[in-house]
Amino acid sequence: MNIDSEKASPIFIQIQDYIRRAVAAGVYKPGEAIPSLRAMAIKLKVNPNTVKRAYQELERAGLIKARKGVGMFVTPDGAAGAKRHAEGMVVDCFLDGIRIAHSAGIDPSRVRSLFEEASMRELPVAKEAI
Amino acid sequence: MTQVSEPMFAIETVGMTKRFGTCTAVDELDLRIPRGTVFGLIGPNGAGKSTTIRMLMGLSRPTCGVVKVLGEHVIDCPTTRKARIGYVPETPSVYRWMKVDEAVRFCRSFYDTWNDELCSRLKTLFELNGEKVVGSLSKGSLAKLGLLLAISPEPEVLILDEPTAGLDPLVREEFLDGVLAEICRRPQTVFLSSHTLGDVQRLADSVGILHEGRLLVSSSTDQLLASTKRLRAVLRDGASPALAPPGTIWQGSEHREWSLTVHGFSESTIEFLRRDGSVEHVEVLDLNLEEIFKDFIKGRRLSA
Amino acid sequence: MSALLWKDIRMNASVLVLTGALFALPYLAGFGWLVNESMARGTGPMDVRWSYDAVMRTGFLSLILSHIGMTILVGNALACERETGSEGFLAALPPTRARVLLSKTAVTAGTIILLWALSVFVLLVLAPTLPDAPAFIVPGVHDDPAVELSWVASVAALIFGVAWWLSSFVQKSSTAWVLALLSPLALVGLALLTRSVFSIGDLALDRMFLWSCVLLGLAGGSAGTVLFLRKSEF
Repeated sequence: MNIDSEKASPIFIQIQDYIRRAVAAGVYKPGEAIPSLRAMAIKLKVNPNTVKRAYQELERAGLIKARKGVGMFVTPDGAAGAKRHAEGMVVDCFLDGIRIAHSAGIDPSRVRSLFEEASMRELPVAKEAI
Repeated sequence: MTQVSEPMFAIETVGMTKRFGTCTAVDELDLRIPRGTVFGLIGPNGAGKSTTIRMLMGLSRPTCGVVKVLGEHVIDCPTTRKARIGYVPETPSVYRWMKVDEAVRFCRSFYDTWNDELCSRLKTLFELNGEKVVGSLSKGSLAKLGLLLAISPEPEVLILDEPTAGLDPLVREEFLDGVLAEICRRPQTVFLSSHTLGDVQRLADSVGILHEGRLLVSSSTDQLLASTKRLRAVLRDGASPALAPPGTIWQGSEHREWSLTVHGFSESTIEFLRRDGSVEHVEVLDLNLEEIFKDFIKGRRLSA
Repeated sequence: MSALLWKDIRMNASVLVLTGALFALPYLAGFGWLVNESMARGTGPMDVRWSYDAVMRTGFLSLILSHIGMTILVGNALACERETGSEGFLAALPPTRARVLLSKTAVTAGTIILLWALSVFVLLVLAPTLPDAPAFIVPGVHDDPAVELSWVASVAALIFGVAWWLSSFVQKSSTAWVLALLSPLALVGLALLTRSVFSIGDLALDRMFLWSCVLLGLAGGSAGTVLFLRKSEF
């Protein structure tokens, strides 16, 4: 997975999203260490200060916790928190869709049926490599 | 013994100006770059980026203003200061007749802090042949040699002047990986000017946008991205764009769509737009660094 | 400092070799001619007899010829970095302008001093010991090598001073040394003009010419040094 510098989302937010998705998918389980600041910076090819900021935000959000001299570890509620965050991102996507529908003049009932149709579809895209 | 405190800013300029006859290449530039951070200077061709860097390196004397690097005025103490700065120009002008190993030995003799192990590691990583004459190196290898010579003395400040210009994407990535590995290895200040805004967005803690010698904005990268938004306002029938809200750096309208880019966006910006009733609804969009940069420059050109 | 010296010697290697060759050529040619003469006499190839006149002619020819190489060396000294585009590279490295200049001065002045020392040794120390050397230098009868050397030194001072000054700012080093080699002609022209306008006697004119060469040479050397040290745009 690469950080997309073309995306409008600030990189430290992209890093947080990346780690949250990884925790939600079970790549990093509660109690396990996530890559060090330096290792993550080199892996994602970004400034280590940006990674530091992302880690600080994630620590503030309770997803990870620092163990002095050892590293950053996923908290016991980490996975649950990550899942909640993912749900929040899904809602954001819904809201984007609703905005598009509103500006295109599509009424709410039609929006609901469009959602039903979309959720019945097979996802053609393979799980994003983390 | 009195402890000499380290200067807080690695690079500090106050009113730095450079004039060539009647042309002002750099106009009253104020920069404050804290130690251990990465600063990206971006701007269109001819904005004055290279002139700025040359003044920081002491390769060009400012017409007026103060220029300090590592707490010392650039005009004074050339040997001690230059030994703590690594510099990679757009095209490294290493002696073309020297072999790579000769160039390394030549530069090494001027630095007490030269790290042989690092130099050797970079030489292997960059696949540089020590016996090859510098004049016969490809553009990419020459750029990598320039970086090796700049990094091996373990400088406190690394100044890169469009170092990846004209390099193919693979070499560009190798070059930036080298810079990033060095940033991760030990704390240092990096001053980078580049046209590749994706690289700047990735690496820089803070950015400055230069246009016709003037600094339009200097801010942390995240802050700039967070506070600069594109607003797409749909106008009511018959309405025309009203007064643009404070902080508007660019605006354009077509049919009933009024697009604006606002720096320092907040909820009050939308209230301002809606206040005279001409706007039906407003969509707020995030922008990446390249889009923000373009809008700053376009807006400047339109107002000129 | 040794790295700077190595660099300056390497950059000027071909010119140093040329200068050495120009210096050695008259001696080798002279030696070859004398071997030939010795063989013609039937006394064997190694029974070479250097006459006082032969030594003087060879010594002066060698010194004058090698000035072409030395002038190229001086003209190249400061301009070569500009010509090869490495001026900015060197300016960004730790050594001060003064250090860089010292290295270049050491290489050029070192070569000039060495060749002059050898020539002075041959002409003023070795030659007088030859069997056919005059016991006393009689003015009007014998050429005084010291006087002739002072002429060569004065003109050399002019040429080197002009070359050094030009080298500090011209883009091509050939401009510096070509104009420098032509500078004595310009001064001779000026001298002839002065003589015809002011009706100055030959002895006075000679003295004026010599002093002008020395003073202009010193001025050129100083100006070139100052220009180089004070340069602030690379």
